[in-house]
Amino acid sequence: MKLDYQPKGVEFFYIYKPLAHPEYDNYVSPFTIQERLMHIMEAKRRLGSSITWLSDSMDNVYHEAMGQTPNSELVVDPDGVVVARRAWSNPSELRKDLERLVGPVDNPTRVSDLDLPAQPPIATVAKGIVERVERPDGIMPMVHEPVLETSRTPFYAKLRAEGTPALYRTGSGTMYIGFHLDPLYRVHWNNEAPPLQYEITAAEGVTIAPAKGTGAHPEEKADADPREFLLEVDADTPGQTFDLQVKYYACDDALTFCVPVKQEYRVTLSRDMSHGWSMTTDPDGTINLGRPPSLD
Amino acid sequence: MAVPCQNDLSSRVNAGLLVGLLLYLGSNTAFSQAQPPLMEKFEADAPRVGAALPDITIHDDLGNPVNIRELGNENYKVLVLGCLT
Repeated sequence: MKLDYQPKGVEFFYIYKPLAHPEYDNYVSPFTIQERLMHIMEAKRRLGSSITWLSDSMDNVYHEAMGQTPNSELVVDPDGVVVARRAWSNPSELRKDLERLVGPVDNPTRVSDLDLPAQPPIATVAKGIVERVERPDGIMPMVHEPVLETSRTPFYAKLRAEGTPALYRTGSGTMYIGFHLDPLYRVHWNNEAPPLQYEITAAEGVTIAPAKGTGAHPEEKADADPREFLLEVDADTPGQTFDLQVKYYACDDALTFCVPVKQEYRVTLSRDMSHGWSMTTDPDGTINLGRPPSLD
Repeated sequence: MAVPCQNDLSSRVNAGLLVGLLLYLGSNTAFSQAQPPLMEKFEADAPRVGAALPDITIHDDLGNPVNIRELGNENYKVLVLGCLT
């Protein structure tokens, strides 16, 4: 579309938002604008597209303005007025819009004409070493914020917190916490170092068990599997918060550093509508895309 | 397998159909009665045809702030929202 209509003066912008499917191809949700820009660089590498990339703000102001839809599309006229909109990008409908607004093109470009380089995701060290936790059916992302100010290093491993519908509705239920290595930092778990440990500090009226835990420590010298836990939460009311501290060793794949890391999070027992759906991968590689925002 | 939010246009068509189906299924749940499904949120929240773009500041690919009302030149523009996965 861009090849056809840029010569006619149409400008194309792709606005990068929170991941709809964290964990797919091992990617995890960025915590900082710098990390989101790293995602854009990775997208450019993998897709080879020459489109102009932009990044939504870290509070997802554009995503919110589009009703939190993951793939909206707007066509704007030279005066800045919206002339077409759709909740889901639709290339054939967009082409009709542009034909109507600026005229048709001879020999429209097809996707097969582009010969775009489809680069593979970032390679990691061995995966499949540590057995994955089976998450309860219907579990959905939970609001959590990294405490960036107290961390001396990037969040090489990033928390993914999720809760069952009952937990969000009543304050009591099952919570998943998983620490997923960010492939953009090209790091792994060094299993010759002490394993990951987490500790939760909750206010009165909130009981979380186990409040402390130690991650898997396989015999394999290194792996990249997430360190995952299922916890039971019993809170007086929904939406309460707690603090989570995690300690681990981060070691880069190029073997240039292996450093102890201590990081903190503030977690709220509420549904996070901005950071995608829960998604799992079966041992045979089958991808389960998860569910749209809904509660039973 | 096409996954919603991939960036090449062909896969996004299939992804849109898939996620649209998921959204339709999700619209029949009890939760969707309390919180509107995404399609309804888009209808309510997104700028309508004939309206100006909202006054929103995001970032260019170097991290510099940019107001979406000031993007590019005085041309037709297409703004697509998406992500890597």
